[in-house]
Amino acid sequence: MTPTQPPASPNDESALQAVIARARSGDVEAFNVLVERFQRAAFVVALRMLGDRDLAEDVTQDAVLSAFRHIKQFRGGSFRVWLLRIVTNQCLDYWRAQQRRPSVSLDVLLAPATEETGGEAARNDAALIDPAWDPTMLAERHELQAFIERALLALPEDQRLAVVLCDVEGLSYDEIAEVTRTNVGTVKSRLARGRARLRDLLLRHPELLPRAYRHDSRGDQPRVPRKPE
Amino acid sequence: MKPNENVMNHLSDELLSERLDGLLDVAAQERVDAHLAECADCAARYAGLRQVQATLRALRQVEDIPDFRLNAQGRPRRLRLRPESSRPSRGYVFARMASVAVLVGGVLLLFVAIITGAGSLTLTSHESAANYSNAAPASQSYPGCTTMHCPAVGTPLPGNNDGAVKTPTMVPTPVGGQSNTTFAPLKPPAPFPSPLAEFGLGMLLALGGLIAFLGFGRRERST
Ligand SMILES: [Zn+2]
Repeated sequence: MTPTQPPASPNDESALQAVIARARSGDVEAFNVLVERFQRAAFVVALRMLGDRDLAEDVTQDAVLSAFRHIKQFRGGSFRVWLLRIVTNQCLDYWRAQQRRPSVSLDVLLAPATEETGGEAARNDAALIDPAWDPTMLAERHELQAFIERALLALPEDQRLAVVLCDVEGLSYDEIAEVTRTNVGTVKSRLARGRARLRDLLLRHPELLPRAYRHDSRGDQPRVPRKPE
Repeated sequence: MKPNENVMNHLSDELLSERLDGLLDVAAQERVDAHLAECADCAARYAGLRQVQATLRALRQVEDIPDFRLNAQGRPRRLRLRPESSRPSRGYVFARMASVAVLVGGVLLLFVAIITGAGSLTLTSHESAANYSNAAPASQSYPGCTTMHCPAVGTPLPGNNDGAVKTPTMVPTPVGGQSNTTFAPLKPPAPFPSPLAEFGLGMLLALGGLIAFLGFGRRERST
């Protein structure tokens, strides 16, 4: 199940191309139609990349403005991908200007993983065996989301970007490669390393894992409905 | 559950990650799934990846997406939330640097004007005027003196005197029997920018630079 956007109908697509053509000629109203359609994606990517709402709003607005000023450089293809590339560049510019990364210290994230909890995490690995659970049922846990949100900021930017574009925003490998100007092989490897790192951070915090995962409640597995295949 | 048999060939995270996205071909997927069914370690790692992905997908839900549309002039409708521009434009940086340069230049000029002005003022005072006229007649060495310097001396006089008081070592006050050559190079040839003109120009530049500096600062904060 590749995460992709629902396919746009041909009508929808040709209407979109007409709007893009008008926007390219400097029509602000037409451009605003595009903004309305893609601003959610742009803002979510900026927010998950930067981890700060106010900053993400300003960066997204800068990206929208930059897109309007450089719309003549848009040479077809996916407008969403093009806009997300601008958003990504704005994030990188921001980091460069700050000379520091909004990274969560790994020490903080790993702090509880002392010798004893490390051993517990290892045992928890063994408790993660049952592949029959439905993660979507469990992902609503707020602390878990908050943790992953924070842990994202501990990833190197290239891995974070790949993970955000793929798992949060639902781009295909090809689209991610286009946004990040790299090849699919690199995207795969960044994605794998980013996800694995998030998982390893998570495993050091067994208290955040859904109860069905925990060592002491393995007998309660029926509470997790089997996902129909 | 069977114990791990081929521990040697655990599945890489990259392979598991691709399996997660369903991007393996049929044969590869069957091989991976067979291993996952047998190997508790890899199954645990895979389950962890699924948990991570499911949580990340939930992060797509964001409340209150702001409106980023532009106004008819192609400008943002929203106000910036962060007062400090994180990345000031090149033009802004240049303007700010230029205003600082003008400010510094003006202050330097003021300083020079005060020193030379004070020097020449001491010369025009009673006892040294005569002393000086020995070396070079005032009428020749001060061609601009009567036209632009002397008539206006009344106004900036107090300031100039202050400067002279503050920097006594810089301006050797000519005393009776001292040789003129010690201070002759300092002021008599008073070149075109006379001390007064220097003072005025310095004041102007310093003020202008200051106003520009403050003005740019305010403008940047408001945008
Ligand atoms: Zn294995």
